[in-house]
Amino acid sequence: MELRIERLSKRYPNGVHALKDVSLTIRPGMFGLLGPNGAGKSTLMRILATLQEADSGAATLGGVDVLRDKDAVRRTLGYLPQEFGLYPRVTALEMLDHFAVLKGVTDARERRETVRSLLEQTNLWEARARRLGTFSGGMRQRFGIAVALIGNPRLIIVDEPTAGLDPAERVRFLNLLSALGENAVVILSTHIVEDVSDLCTRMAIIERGRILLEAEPQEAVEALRGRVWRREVPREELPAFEERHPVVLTTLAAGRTVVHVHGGAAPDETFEPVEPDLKDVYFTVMRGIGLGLPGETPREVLAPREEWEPGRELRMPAPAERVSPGPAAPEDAA
Amino acid sequence: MTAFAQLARFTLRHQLRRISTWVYFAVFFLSSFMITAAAGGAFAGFDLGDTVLLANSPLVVVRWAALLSLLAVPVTAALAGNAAQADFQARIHPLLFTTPVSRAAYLGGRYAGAVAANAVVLLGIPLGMAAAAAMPFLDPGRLGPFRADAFAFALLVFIVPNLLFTSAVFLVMSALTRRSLPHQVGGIGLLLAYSVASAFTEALEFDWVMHLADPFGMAPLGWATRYWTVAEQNTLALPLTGPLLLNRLLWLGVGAAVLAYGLARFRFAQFASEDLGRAPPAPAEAPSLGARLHLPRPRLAFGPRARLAQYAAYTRESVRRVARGVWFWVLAGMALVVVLLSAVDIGAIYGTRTYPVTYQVVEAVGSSLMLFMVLILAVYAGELVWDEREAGSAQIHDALPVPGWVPFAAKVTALVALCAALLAVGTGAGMLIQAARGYFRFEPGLYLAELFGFGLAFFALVAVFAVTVQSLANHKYMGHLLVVGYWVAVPLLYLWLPPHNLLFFPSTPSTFYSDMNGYGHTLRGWAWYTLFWALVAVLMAVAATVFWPRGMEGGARGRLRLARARLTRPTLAAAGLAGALVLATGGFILHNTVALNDFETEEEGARVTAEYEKRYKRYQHVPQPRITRVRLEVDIHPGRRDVDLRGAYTLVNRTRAAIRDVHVDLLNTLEIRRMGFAAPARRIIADRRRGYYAFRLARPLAPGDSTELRFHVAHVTRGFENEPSFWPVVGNGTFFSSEYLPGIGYNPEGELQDAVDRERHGLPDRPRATPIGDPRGRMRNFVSRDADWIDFAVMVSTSADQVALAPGYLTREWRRGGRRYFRYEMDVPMLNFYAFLSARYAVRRDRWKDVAIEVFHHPGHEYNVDRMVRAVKASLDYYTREFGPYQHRQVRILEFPRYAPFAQSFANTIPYSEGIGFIADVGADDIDYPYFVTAHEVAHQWWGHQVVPADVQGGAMLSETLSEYSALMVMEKEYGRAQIGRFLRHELDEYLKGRTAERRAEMPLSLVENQQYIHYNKGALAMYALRDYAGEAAVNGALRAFLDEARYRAAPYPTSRDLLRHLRAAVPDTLQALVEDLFETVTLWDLSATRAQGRELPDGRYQVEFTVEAAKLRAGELGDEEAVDIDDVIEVGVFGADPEEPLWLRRARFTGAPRTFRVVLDERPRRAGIDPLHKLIDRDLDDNVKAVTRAPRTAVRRGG
Repeated sequence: MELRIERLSKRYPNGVHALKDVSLTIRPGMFGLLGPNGAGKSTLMRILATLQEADSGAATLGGVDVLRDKDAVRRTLGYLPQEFGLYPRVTALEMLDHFAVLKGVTDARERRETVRSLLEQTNLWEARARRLGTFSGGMRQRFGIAVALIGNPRLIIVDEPTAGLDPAERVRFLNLLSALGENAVVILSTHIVEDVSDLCTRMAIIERGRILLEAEPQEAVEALRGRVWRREVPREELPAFEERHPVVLTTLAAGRTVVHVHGGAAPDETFEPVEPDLKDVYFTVMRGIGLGLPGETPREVLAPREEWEPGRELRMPAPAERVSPGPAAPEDAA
Repeated sequence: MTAFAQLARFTLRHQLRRISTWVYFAVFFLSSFMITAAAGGAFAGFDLGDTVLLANSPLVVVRWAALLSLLAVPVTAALAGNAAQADFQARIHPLLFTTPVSRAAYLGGRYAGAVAANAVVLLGIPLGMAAAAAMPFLDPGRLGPFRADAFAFALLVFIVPNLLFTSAVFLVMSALTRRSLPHQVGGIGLLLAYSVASAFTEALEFDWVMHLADPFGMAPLGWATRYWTVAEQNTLALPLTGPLLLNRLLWLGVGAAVLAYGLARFRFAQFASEDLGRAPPAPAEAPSLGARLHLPRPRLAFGPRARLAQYAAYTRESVRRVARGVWFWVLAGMALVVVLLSAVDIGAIYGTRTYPVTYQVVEAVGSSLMLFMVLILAVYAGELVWDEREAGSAQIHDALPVPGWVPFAAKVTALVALCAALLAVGTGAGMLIQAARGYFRFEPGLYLAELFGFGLAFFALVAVFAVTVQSLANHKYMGHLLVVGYWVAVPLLYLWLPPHNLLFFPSTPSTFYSDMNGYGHTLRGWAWYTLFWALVAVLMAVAATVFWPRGMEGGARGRLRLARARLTRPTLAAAGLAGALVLATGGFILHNTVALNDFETEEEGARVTAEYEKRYKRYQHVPQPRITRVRLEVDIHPGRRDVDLRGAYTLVNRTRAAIRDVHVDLLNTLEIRRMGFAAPARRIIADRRRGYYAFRLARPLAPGDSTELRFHVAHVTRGFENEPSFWPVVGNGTFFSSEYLPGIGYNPEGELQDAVDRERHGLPDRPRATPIGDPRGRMRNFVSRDADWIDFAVMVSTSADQVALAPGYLTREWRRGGRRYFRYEMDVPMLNFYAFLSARYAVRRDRWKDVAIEVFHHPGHEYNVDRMVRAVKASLDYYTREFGPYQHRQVRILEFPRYAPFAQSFANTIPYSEGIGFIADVGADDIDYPYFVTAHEVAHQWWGHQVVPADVQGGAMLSETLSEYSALMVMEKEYGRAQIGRFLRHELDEYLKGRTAERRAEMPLSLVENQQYIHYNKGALAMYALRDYAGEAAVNGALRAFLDEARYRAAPYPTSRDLLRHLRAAVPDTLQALVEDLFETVTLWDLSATRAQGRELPDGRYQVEFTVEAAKLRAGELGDEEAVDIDDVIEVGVFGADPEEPLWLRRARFTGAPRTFRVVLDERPRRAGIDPLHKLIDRDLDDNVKAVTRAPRTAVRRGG
């Protein structure tokens, strides 16, 4: 059984084109959907989770029309939304039991076993009598997964589950996800490259509603081998440097600026080769540089996103607006 | 300070930019504009004023402004709550709270801004009024000059102080809890406080609690103006009385205290971190790497049984969510308070309470919970529908394999369960009330029927409605607004739409319980309408489910597309079936209410009545024969609610000319089976719609000659009505009077009474009564225009289990064909005024000399039967001794259901409502009104049935005032003067309040035009005062002489002039002026004590010195007063420890100057003053006596 998405499009009333002709085929196993905030990941996830309507296109799960036969999808769906709240005054056991009933586990004995098994496997059994309001972020996410796993769903959608978790919690949570196995189609959307490289057998990169790349992570990294070079660049030279070279990634290492440049050969001797990883793949693809893989969508050059790049100088009297971490903000500072 | 100003300005600007602020402004502007315009006569169908009351008088301006500012509470809650919460909702509070703004500046600035924005909104009230008053389409006769002082008063005493107080409460509540529900709870709490305060405004005595407990200041305003006559209402400026001022200061102080408390408790830090400040428990570790998940594979069920289980679980969860919130318990506590408060004065008449019989307690519980529940439903419908969204778990829920009807049904059910819980609280409280008063006949079935039957059915429908509105509105506050808006709109719609219950969801015909008749026939109509609305609710449920907010599609187009997709074939089929059933039941209801019964709007009724007058008034004075003999056969069918009336009137021509045409007037609801004359006659008018018929006799009726009118008319009950009628026949407890029989000649009683209605239908002004000097008026009596004294006999039959009664003596009783028959014959001439009753009765029999006393009462209503029997005996005793013999051999009291709240005296027969005495719980110190009412009705056997007043002005003084006086005397003999004093305080209060509602002219007692506050309330005061001044012997002597002169007189009938002649003859010259003051003019006294000082004398006795003043006023038709010279003898007195029995009392003459009295007494004087027993009519009784203060030493020396 596989999830087949064909030419899915979605445009919001305010004109934002969230999905453009998205086509994907997802087989059982862990599938990573990687992309910056606002790329359309959540829209796609919500459409697959029956919460939003597509303007055009089709999606089928096995023989089920995901867009029309919502009830059938819901019967076999496990969904962990990007942001969710839980009634703070209800205990974990009560809440999970309630969700189990609503998922169709109406036999009391079976429900008891299901709830117990899920709480144990998410290591929440000890905390079952605690009110959900007292749960830490990681516990909440695990509880969310427990909810999603009720009834052994065949389609599991996990939307940005690691956002906001501290590194230790994130690792533990990924452990849990990795144990899901190969029985169901699991779609994990994230803007964190490591989530995908750690977990997924297949992945897609999405940006502004388009799939830029669909590949196996390993295969994509391979395709980049020998084509990424690095060197240190003084901060003040960075703008000029970026104009001369196809920079895919600018990182900081101990306060110094290190750039990764894409190319068939080292631009000069100051560069040294890099053993590429998925992050290089991601940023290369995001820059619009082709990897020459079959799952790649040829693309026009995208207008640059307005991002806050590390090279740019920060002017201090910033108005107190909400500042979101840019999608390109590297995680490897940690 | 600058931060404060900046925040205030920011808040104000923010609010003024919101569209809702201006919507609120428009609402208040338009409301007050419409109110003023409607009071000014701008709309024919919607008249809030009347022709004599100015639409913009100071009192009207201030009253409406105060009331509208009370209605502004929810708006204030929204604005203040928004000011406090905007930062949290926008989640910029962490940024704001880390700026160096002090808490005081922060909260204070928000408060000032919110108050300012709110003031802008509420300025709509005075602006709307002023604008309306300037409109050219108002009746200029209803407009006074623009009174700036009134607007200033309204703003400074009511609108702004209320605003300052309520804003403080809501802002602090919001800032401290950061929840939206609390300010809704707060709003309910404030309304509660208001209703508490208004519960006490009925109190007779000045009471500080009542004056201060009302946070909106309406109670002291109402008290200060409660006796204002029309003239005063139109002109007087509002007084800032001490209690009003104190009330305002108190609540401003409370507001300030709340604000201070809020400042002290408010913490930036507390809100900066989202948790409760406790360290969270250590997180549990995730499972270790390497383990494979073993996902359990339970069977999944999606069949009907599983759906039911899901519905049950969802419901349980919703209920649990609400029950775990603290606010539900706060609301339940409030409900308890409301219910207990409602019980304070259950059924009180003259301050005497009834037994807490279950139907009254249940009614009190139900009605006091009503508003409460509707509000709770509106609020919690929103809370429940948006629960998952607010908790953030909506996406999880929405992706669950649960059909949309499950959450809908679960939430409705949870709401209904909530209501049931509150009703259970109400039931407990009701039984508590009963038990606390020592009453243990709980009748749980009645609680069940009223609260969990009618009540819960209603609330369930409202719950469906509220949840549906939330679903369709797709926005919580919009949903709240729409639900509340609907309840506000319904009474307005009532003005425009025909008042058929089918037009107003979810109204049904009233159900009405009486101990005698249970719910009777009211159940059937209720059941049909409830079925109809339940089916409509199914349609609503379909709409709600189809549009149920699910998923993230917000736009209208997206929702419509989703709805179309959800409109599956089974859903359509269910909707179609429900729709068809709605049409079918609706059709059946219309068939019953409109085709089988007359559904008449008020307008139609008025038109028919007006046509009656327009067409037939010209026959009013056509000479007609008089009825001299009545023979009737009346078949009452309680089961079918039908009655057959067969009879024959003997008509005699007492005029000096031959009579050719006989006119017959008949209620237009009756069906005529047969109507004709003994002699040949033909019908010349037959107008069924207006109930008017005329016959032309083949041979005119010669003077002195007689003929017979024979008729068979029937009242047939068919189906059910839009509102149940209780006349003429009910299942148990039938009571109807002779108005259901044909009358001879045009009936002026059937004319349109209301002045505005008359004007609209082009009818001339109608005098309330015939002038006292009118000779034609003196030719007919006050109860029947078509007869003088008649010879009366009747056969009346009813079902086998009931007893049927009518005036006269029972001469024969038999059974035939499963029915009981009774024949009653009267052995002396009586008035053409009789009644029929039929019920399952228990009878209590007694005897006074040779007069049989019988009380026919409902089994179980024995409480006061003895009291009534005693009252009958005492009355017969006093009246036969003082006035003359009783004309009958029997007095019968017959209980009838509380469908009407009165007792009425027919010859030897007194129908007496179960609502006004049978269940009174007369305590030791209470006014024994069952005793009084009984004595009053027995007195009518003399005053009304022996002396029959002419149908002219002052008539009611002869029947009602004299009965009132007679009953007072009987009660005084039994209970002493003190109780009479308390009783008269009620009478004075009723009289003074009655004057304020007078719209035509307050008449002197002797010219009373059927004005109850005059012939009952003032009559009792005047007669008792006269008897106190002139003595019982003199007054009774005059009454006896009058009775001797007028007894059994036929046309021309006596008038109040005859009575006054006797009264004047009986009192000395010094009291002639008093007779004029009491009976012939509208006179009020202004009596007051200005000083009272006392000291102990060396011999152990006490001296008291006090100064009093007396002034006299005469009032014009609408209460415009004018001082007149006084030369009156008035009592002055001193009280000791006993507050009701004076130590010293004497009469003194007052001619305008203050007088000082010095008295030496054996006992310590406590209070001293003028007219201490309140015999004269005075608007302010509190200043009549003053507490005696200790005299300063110097004064004592000088005085000694």
